[in-house]
Amino acid sequence: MNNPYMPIPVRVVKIRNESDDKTLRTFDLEFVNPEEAFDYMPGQFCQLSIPGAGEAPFGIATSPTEKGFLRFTVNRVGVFTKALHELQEGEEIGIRGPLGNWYPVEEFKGKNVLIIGGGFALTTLRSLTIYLRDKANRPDYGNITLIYGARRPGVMIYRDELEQWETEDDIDVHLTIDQAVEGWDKRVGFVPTVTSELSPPSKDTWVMLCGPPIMIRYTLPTLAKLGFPPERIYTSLERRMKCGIGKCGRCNIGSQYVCVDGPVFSFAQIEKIPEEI
Amino acid sequence: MDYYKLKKPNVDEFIAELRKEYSVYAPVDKVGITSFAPLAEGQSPNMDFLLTQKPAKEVFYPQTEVLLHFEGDQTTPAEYTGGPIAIFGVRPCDARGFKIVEKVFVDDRYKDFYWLARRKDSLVIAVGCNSPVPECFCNWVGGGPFGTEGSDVLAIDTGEQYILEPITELGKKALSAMNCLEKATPAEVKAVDAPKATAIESMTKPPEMENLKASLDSLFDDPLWNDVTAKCLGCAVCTYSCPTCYCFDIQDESRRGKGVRLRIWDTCQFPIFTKEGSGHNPRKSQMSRLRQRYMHKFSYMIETISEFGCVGCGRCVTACPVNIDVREFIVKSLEKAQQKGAAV
Repeated sequence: MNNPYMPIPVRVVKIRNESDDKTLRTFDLEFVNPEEAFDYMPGQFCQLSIPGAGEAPFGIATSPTEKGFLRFTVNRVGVFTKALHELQEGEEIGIRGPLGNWYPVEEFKGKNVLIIGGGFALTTLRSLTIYLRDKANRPDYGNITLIYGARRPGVMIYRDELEQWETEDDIDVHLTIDQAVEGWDKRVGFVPTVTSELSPPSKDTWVMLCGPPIMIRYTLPTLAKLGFPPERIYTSLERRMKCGIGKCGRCNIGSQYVCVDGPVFSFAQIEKIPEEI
Repeated sequence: MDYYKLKKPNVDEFIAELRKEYSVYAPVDKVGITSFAPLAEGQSPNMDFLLTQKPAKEVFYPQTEVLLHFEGDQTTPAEYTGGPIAIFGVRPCDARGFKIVEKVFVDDRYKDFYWLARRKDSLVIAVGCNSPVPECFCNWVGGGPFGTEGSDVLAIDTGEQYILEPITELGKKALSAMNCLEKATPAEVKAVDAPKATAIESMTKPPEMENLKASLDSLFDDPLWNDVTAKCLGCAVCTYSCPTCYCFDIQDESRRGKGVRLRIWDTCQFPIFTKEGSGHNPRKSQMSRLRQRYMHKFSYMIETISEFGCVGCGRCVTACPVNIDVREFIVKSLEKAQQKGAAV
């Protein structure tokens, strides 16, 4: 019988610092046994496992259209993420996944997509952006707009890639930081303010919104003012998790489990959940 | 279906026969706490108490359980090697609890490998409750002192002997293979009706439980929750003694390159249960945690598995150090929701 608690081996092939304060680190992983490689969709997550140190869930930052590796960006906050940060290239760890649901890419085919991210919550939005812009998928979608904010340039993740996207013409990229600093010639201001300034038209547009709770709290009214209904605004929820497969009870909110019924929910769904997100 | 009789002096022989095919678990009084444990050869079950202090779920879902072994680069899943399990003497509420936990652990998305390993080919022999105690409320939540859900055999105590009623095909097969049993006569089978009726009659009549979910949903932000939580210590004995609380933690333990990944019963009553790496905790107050427990059992689980996450065993009522009684809360919330509804 299949044992859903059993991780499969992956090798760390590349590690790089994602922020100047070294709290964010990006790991590229390859399956040790290529026949165990799994398919996934943008928005899904995995449990990364280090024997003896534990397990924790992380959103997949690669797109399924990028073959051959999986990418995760990890914020060092506790015992397990510290153990991850101490890994060296070439080491083997375990992975369980793909877990959870994904951004509703089928539902918004033929529509415009507004992607709004803040801080290091860009991981699965990176997956989504690359997926939508893949040659095979791009004709299925209208305008793609990305608004991404970080506290300061040094903690802006995937910055080289974002600046590359800025020069490309099938996506509108708007990068912003909280306060002006020397050498920054792009936007300055919080994500809700920038969204309000840009005033993207809501007609035929779906929103994928991920970031710290405070950013979400202030961006939602802005989007409402612009005419986006909650049914068309999606986010990926965070909750402390253990099993990732709907058994351990930890990520229960209302009648849902974030791990198996989410992590992607529309705000129309979230409004029906009695507890605060 | 044929009923059998088991004379009380023959219980040990019955257990010995079961032991030929099963690891037999039964109530024992172990270091001052009563629980279900495997009987050693020649060991008799302790049938003197109504309910064990620890819920019977631990037979299939141990409080601490190894999931994986680590050694060097090797990770291997723990294998259950105890053979098929028979439980003797479980009460109908605990037996029903197995079915409820199983609905969570074995759903159409993921099947829990470890739960199934122990549940496979298991035989559940329950004993009906002739004398429910004041804490019992199985009749409020869809069960009864002689309920059969989750059992393969129901034993009914008639004083000198047990009348054994096979509930499932497995139960029927197991009983028919036993040498120490005799078939019960129609008169003996008929004789269980009176004690059954007396037991059911002795229990507190339930309030309108079909209104409970909607009532709780309407009271989510009501000050009622502060009242019920005011004396709660957050000790979590209610969750650890509950036959349907299934939440667990996963932890690694290792030393010098060798170790295990464990799962351990956990509780929504402790703040760390939901505390995230960032320090953010979506359930900061004891009020929000007790509310989660009651909402989960009496509202959310109606949506997910179409029944209450409660079998009315009353252990939480008995064990609570500050006498929080879930039944008082149920009655209060039904009344309050009705008042609120009437006021609208």
